[in-house]
Amino acid sequence: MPKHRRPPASAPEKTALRLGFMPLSDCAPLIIAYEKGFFTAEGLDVELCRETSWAAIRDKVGLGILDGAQMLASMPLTSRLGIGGPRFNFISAMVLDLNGNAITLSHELYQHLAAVDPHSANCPAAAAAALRSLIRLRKPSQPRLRFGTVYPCSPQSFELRYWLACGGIDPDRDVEIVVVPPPKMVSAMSDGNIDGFCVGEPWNTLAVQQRLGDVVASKYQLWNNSPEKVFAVTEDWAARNPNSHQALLRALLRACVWLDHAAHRQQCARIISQAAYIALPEDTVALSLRGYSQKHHAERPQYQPDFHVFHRYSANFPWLSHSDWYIAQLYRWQLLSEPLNLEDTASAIFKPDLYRQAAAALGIDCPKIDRKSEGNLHEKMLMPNSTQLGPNRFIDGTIIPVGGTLQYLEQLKLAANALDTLRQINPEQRLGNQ
Amino acid sequence: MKLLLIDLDTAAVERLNAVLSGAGIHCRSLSGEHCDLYRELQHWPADIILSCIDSPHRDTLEHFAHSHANSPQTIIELGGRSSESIARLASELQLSLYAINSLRDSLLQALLDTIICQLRSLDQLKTEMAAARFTLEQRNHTQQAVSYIVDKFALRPQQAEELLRKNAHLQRRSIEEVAEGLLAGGELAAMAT
Repeated sequence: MPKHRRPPASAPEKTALRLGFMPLSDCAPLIIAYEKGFFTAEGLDVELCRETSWAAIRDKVGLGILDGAQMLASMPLTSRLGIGGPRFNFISAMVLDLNGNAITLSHELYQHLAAVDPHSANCPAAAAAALRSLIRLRKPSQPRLRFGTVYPCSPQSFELRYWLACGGIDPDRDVEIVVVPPPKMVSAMSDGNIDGFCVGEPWNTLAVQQRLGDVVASKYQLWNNSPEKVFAVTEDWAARNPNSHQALLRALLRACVWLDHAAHRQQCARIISQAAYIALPEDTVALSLRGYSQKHHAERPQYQPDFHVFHRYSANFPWLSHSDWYIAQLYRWQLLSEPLNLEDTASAIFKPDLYRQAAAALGIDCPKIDRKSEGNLHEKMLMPNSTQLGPNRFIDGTIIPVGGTLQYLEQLKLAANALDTLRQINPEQRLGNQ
Repeated sequence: MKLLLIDLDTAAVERLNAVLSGAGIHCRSLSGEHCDLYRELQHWPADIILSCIDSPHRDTLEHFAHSHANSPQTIIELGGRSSESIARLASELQLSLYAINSLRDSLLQALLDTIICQLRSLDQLKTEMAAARFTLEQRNHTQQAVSYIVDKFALRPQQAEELLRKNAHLQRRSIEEVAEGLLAGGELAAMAT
């Protein structure tokens, strides 16, 4: 963080704040902001509340029981639209982390995949194609394979669907997707209730360490550096407490900067693995935080320095193009049929200007634009140690330029009449033949 | 009408069962931990669900609601407006309500009023009982000490009570403390008769 003289911040309207988090590795920004005194330094007296479900976080923030919380990156959007639950007017001015999830299959299912195509071990697309072959060989009398995710319309749900679809599998017809609480995911696999899951860390590592599962894809491999959790509050709360909101954003931003130093990751694991937070062995939590992904029990963990990204690549910036992608996935999977104006929807929920204000107070550079193309940056195209933008490829090579969401939906064969309506209310979007 | 209670404590289940069955509501209680919630929700299609807000199975419930439009849906407001009852249900009783769409808001409001009244009074009673426990225990000790003195010294109960009072005065302790000491055995010899 550059050294600078900070102008005095306006006094927070509310100082005693209750913030919710889920026991996952990427709750780290909240825990670190608390443990390292970043909240206190902003004059905030924060109580961290460990929650047991995303629905509880949603309802408690929405009803004012919590002031704010760590949320799934898609949750402010889906809640605003009333998809997968009741309507709440959440806003988010900050992304907490990128990447961090993985898709794990039961060891038995994975062995079948590896027998079909040995490349399944390290190639997510090959694993998905092998899975499609296995599904086609199954008898009609056999129950569908069952996959766990953590919440309807969650990033995990979209990632699982994306991976299945890239192998030619229809997530709604060829398999069954159920919701399992993250801490129950490994035991559900052990009990034979699910054949695979998509979840955040440390639950994938735990499944591999217990020889129950094998990781076939990481979130990074599906869409490099895509948003995972955000910090969200209600629109009303933000309007009533603008200074408290800025103070929270600054404290969380300082925590994210601290977390992105590789040298701090083991210490982070020591802190967040405590009983009050994740309550798992430090080594289990530390593995992915230190940038290692253990995909198979018999193999050494692979070094993936971007497995968890907390700050670099402008990670904390609430890109409106990320909102566009989630809206596109909602249309893709028929979870949304009502035509929306993408610009109005995204800008009502994600607040780049509030982020810029907090970043400026800390002397942190941030993007001047609100949207960026997705899928167009390969690792090899970037300068070494680039911090402004990271790779953003999709597993299937899709590129979505700014203003190209409808074009993307056209490629996905969204119904023509739905596209026509969308074009009419999104005149700024590129037409399909451009 | 079927009401499913998920991850509520036993006392709350018993209280609601006793009160709501009289209104024709059939209650069933489930622990999300020990069942396949998807299967249970399909086999016993409830009209209303009351879940502990902190149940780790809330997200499964949300998914079921999301994928079965005719099943109970999360209720956050009544009559299109924010509801104080829903907020109280969540903040004071840590409960979340789900109901099928065809139920009238007035029915849900009446149900919420009953639930809040019953469980709040139950909560209040539990709090008062906890506060009264010490007093009740002390009273019990005194009664046992009186019985002991009656048996030991062949006195009438009134005389035994007077003896305890006199000893308490001499020892500058409360009657309850003297009674407790007597029952503990160590101070029997010191009793001034």
